[in-house]
Amino acid sequence: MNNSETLLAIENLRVSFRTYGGSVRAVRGISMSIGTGECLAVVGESGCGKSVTAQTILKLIQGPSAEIDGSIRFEGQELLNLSEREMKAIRGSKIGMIFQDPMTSLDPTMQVGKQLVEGIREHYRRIRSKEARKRVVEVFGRVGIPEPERQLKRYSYEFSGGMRQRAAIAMAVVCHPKLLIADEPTTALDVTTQAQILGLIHNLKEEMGTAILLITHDMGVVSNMADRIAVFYAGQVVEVGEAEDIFYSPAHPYTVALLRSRPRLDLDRKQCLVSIPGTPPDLFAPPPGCAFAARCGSALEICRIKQPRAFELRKGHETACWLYHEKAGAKHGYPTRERLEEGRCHDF
Amino acid sequence: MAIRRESVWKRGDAMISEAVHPFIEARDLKLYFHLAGGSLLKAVDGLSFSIPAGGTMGLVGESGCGKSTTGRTLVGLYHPSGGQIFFKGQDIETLDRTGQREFTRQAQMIFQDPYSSLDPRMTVGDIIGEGIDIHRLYSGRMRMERIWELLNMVGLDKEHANRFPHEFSGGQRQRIGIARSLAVEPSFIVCDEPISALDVSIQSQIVNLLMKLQQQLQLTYLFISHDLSMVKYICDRVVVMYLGVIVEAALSDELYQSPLHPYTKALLSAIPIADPRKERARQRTLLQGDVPSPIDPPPGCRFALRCPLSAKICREETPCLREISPGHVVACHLV
Repeated sequence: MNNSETLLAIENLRVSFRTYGGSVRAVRGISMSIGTGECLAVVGESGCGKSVTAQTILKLIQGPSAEIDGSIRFEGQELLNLSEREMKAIRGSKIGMIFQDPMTSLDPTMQVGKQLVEGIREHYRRIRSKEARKRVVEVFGRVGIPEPERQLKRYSYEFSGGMRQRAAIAMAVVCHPKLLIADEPTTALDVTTQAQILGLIHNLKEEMGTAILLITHDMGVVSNMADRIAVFYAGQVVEVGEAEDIFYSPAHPYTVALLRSRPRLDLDRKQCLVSIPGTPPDLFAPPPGCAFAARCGSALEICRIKQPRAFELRKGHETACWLYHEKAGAKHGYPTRERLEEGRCHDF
Repeated sequence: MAIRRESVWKRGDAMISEAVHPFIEARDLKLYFHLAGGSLLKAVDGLSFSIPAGGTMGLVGESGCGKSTTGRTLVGLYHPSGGQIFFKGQDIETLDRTGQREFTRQAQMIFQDPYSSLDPRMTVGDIIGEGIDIHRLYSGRMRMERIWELLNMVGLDKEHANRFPHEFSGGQRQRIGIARSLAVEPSFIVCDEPISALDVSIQSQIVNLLMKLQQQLQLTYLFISHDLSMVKYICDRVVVMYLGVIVEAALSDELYQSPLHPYTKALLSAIPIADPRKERARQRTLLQGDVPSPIDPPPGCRFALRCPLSAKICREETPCLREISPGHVVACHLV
């Protein structure tokens, strides 16, 4: 943790969904925190619980089928105990959210400008429409929508993908939230548009001091944005640390494999692509030991039996992997950065 | 995995004109869609390229640039509005019925979305066997054995033949799609974004599988993708498209090391690198705006509106592809 104060603290969060086929344990004991003005990136594959975590923060996951347990404290306030009405006051004004698909997060039957004005007036009843519209024009300009005044009256389907995502970002930041949750904000976009949107989110963070929870599956996307990174696997945090720790001295075999499973543009073509055999575990019946053990080349006997606790490698860099237990490490060797950069394939 | 790297592309194969023995070749390929209201959407507008046997050509560009349309036209899913396709030196338009049939067997396709490209009501065995039946390659016991062999080849079990697609994960479905395309013993496969719908850890499995199969079966690939780092890894030669035309083509290493067209440069600099220190030190040329509509594209260079360097000539005259160094062609007035 940087010496900034904690804005959001998640403690042992568990979310499961009851279905006809049994209970899916989507999030299985996640703890993490975000400091004021900090960018925490959550990286993981689909089904690892990253989006469920994000939606639970805003209490978008509710209802009889979901069981939520644990604690989410925002500015010291426990969110899980709040009523729907109290939650409404937080959504949009203190915590904003950008969704993956801007086509579905904007109302197609409503003018884009109106949607933003609605958001402002919901939180600040005393602001007049005219005043609110002025603010919308200003925020449209800020997110790089050309001719903002003209765009207010248009509908989302008249916008291109990049423009829609800009409008969605404008909607998320129009009330100056302290925390912005961006759930795969660029996955649906082309690379050139992705670069524009990432640059925009980066600037908003610098200018407005907004803390960001950036959710993605792409290590490249986070490399320029994240202060800290949490790697998710099968509903748990397997490794968390400063961005530099994760990129240059990844500890968990899954993190190492994730970094090596994508070819890098800046490296020579002879680089080897690590493929992780198998598929993530079934969360209806998660394995008793480490969730990654079945796919891990360095798995020990204990990995299949008992869940690893988090081992602290240095301040702020933790990993949940038995290889870092004092009795294991010396014998088996760590998947270190040196091994990573040698560029040879390990049998992960 | 050992990676095949001695290239079938000889440096100096002038790829737009004549590669020595092109396996498949497109000459001035055009595909227009007539839209309601009489306007014309020029999805592919005069594409020429060739792929030698056993080669892998990458086709990259942003969405809407016509790369998937090109792939579909090449395997005969669309009838070209103009230009020719040569398969093993023969114009596919001039083939007789048997020849046509043979071409459709030899040219296969792997689709982007493994969820919508498999019929949910057919068993995996029938999905794979359909092509075998149509081309009357095997029957009875032999057919079943062939299906099991194919499943094995793509890393699935023979028990999977009796299951339905919904019982499989995305990566496994893509393996089924690959087995289906291999069932008719093709020599040329168009891979249309075969990995973009998959998770990161599964993507590398599929890519490694495709490369292994290429080596085993001497396949020729056209690899369509918007993922430039993956294309760099897989392809020997890369063609960059923008709004239906080729803007640059070169051997893979050369294109990534010394891109010439401003669009290629911008595309490459937009890709994030998973290395924070390098990423911070990078100089970016960010493109403004989005790809304009391919309906009535602007006169002159199609990229001129977004090009940071565009001059007067760019908005007036359409640039032609010129060979800058052996095998490296670019369509830009300013290079």
